[in-house]
Amino acid sequence: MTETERQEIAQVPINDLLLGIIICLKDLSFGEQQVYRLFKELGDEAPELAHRVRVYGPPGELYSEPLRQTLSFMMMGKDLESPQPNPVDQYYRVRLSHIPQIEKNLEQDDVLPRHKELIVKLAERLRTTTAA
Amino acid sequence: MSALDELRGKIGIVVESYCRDYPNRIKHSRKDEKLFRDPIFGFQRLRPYEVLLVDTPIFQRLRGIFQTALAYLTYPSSVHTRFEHSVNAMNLASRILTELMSRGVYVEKQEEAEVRIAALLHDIGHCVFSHGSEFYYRELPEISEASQDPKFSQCHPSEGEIINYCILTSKQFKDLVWDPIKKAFEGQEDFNYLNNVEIEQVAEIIIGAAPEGKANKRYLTDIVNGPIDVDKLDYLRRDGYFTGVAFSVDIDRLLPSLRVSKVKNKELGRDEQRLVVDYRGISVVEQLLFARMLLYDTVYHHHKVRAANSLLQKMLRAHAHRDVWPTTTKRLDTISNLLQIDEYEFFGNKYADVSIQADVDRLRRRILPERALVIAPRALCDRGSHTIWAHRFAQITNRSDPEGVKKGKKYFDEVRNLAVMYAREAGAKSIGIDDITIDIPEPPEYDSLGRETLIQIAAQYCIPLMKFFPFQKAVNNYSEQYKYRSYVFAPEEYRKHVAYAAFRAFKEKGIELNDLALIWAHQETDTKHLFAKFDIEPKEWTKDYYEPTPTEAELDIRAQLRKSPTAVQREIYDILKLQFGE
Repeated sequence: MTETERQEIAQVPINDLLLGIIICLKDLSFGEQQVYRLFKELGDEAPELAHRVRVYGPPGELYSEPLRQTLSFMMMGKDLESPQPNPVDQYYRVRLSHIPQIEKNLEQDDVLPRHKELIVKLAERLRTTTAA
Repeated sequence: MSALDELRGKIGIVVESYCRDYPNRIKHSRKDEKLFRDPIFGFQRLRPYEVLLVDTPIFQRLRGIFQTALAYLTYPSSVHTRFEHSVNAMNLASRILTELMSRGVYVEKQEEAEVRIAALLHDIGHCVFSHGSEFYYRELPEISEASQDPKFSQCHPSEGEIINYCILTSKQFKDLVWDPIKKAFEGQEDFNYLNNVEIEQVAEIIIGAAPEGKANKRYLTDIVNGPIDVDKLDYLRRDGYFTGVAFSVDIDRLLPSLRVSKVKNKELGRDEQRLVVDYRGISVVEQLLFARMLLYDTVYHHHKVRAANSLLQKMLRAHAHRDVWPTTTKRLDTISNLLQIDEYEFFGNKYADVSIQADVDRLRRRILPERALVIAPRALCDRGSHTIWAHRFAQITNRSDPEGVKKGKKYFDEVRNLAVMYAREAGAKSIGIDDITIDIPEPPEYDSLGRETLIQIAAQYCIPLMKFFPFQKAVNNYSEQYKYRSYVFAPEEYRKHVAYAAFRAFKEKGIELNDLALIWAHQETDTKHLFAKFDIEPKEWTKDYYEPTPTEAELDIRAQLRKSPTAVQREIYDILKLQFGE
């Protein structure tokens, strides 16, 4: 991660960052563990982020209360869909119909298009991140 | 000096103010064991040195810290305190140790004493109003900076646990409490083991760290700070009993199900001896989960409990830094200050400042804000409202992310400002911004019980409960999606105006509510004329709520899942196959 990217990440709320990444994935599903792993790696590269996301645990059993809570709110807000019956390791996918409104919210927070390049890069990292 | 040392130094001064004369009292004390009754768990037996710990003024202070903070304003008999909870936590720790020892687990005398003392002192650092003031002190830089100390990198203690740690590891606690107590039993053969009891080890157990150099004794920590620890076992039963919320937690069944088993700590790359639950005890773990859910739903997140907390929050945020409180600095804006008073002193003090006295009186006489609106996913009209709701609520509740909190706060401040304007238009001429509170509780979290509770399915084969059966995920989803609510509160005289005004303000800021938000707040009839006057018609919740239909892609995934098991299901199957054959 470059110094500029670190500075950018410091300015963006965690849930905005996650929302941005998720809408970039479009119809690809992703696992909770993938999200934790991505942010754990980002936290290792930028220690100031580590304290904001608080990802703990060994590989494959990572956990982050702030990220889990963000995912829960996105579930409650129906931005995310989760396959039923609920599997042990939960997989999510953004509702395509919600993407325009989420983009609008991120524009209001001055996250998009300002940090688009960073977010696309992080989404690509999430796409290639495996759970364990 | 590190932030942790600095905080410890300040807290040490508070310890000194409480315990300055205590060594002298110890000299003249009787040093007997004591028995006393508990309505839930029966007799409690305290050893002579434990009696001396209980008698310290800093522990006695817990008699003035109510276990469920201001919940007694709603559940009148919920006046139990941190004092009896702490004493029984020790009793339960002893019962667990006895069970384990009866199964051949070897625990040294001094280790047993350390676990008992850790259970007894696990809440010694509770500030005035317990979890009710947590929202305030955990934002103080002195605690957030201390929490980043490398000391806590493995065990991640809560802010409250860090305060406990600072008290016990302060020089003053050692000099004025622990060393004099040890000295008082010097030469007594029955208490020789006390020489080896280290208060630092006790502090380590409280923050959830494995005793230093003793990975094979990690289960001792689990008893006091683990997924199924004595704190939870006591508070769930006690809060249920004293609030009158009926549920069952069969501790007598749980205790014989506890085992010690070798478990690989993948994070630290070592084997540890952990406290685990035999699979036959799972039903009690389920009871614990449901008990927690019930208590959140009926007590901790009850609208009146939240209303009282919101008034307390408003008071502390507005007045904690003013020189009016009964503390040495006359302020209430540091951890040291919050440790100096209990709730009797908070309410008993006469405040020279009229506005503070008025707020204190409101709390004491239960003149609490009223619900103007209830906001929950079911009360949201459309897709856009859901998306904005999720976005802003996630921001404001993520307290570890200052950037998000700032953005969320800005949004809700704008809603409040608009609401004040509309409320004035509607006739509440003298309403101010501080009269409107938007209360957004952090959603309760049940996953940890499933993630951290280790189930022994066969000798030396332990897996986290969530891999055995992920019911806690279902509870989490159910609880969040169907029970999670937030509130707009206002003084009784303005509740109608605020119901209408906040409804309109939220709509303007992109969150359109349906009439369920009014119905749940009992405002649907009282506000009809206001909505009519301003030509706004709330949509009907029976028709106007948002329910997305499953997409093709979602249906695809369901079909795939039916065909092939997940990796974890396969893992469980393999373990069972190994143990019991095909």
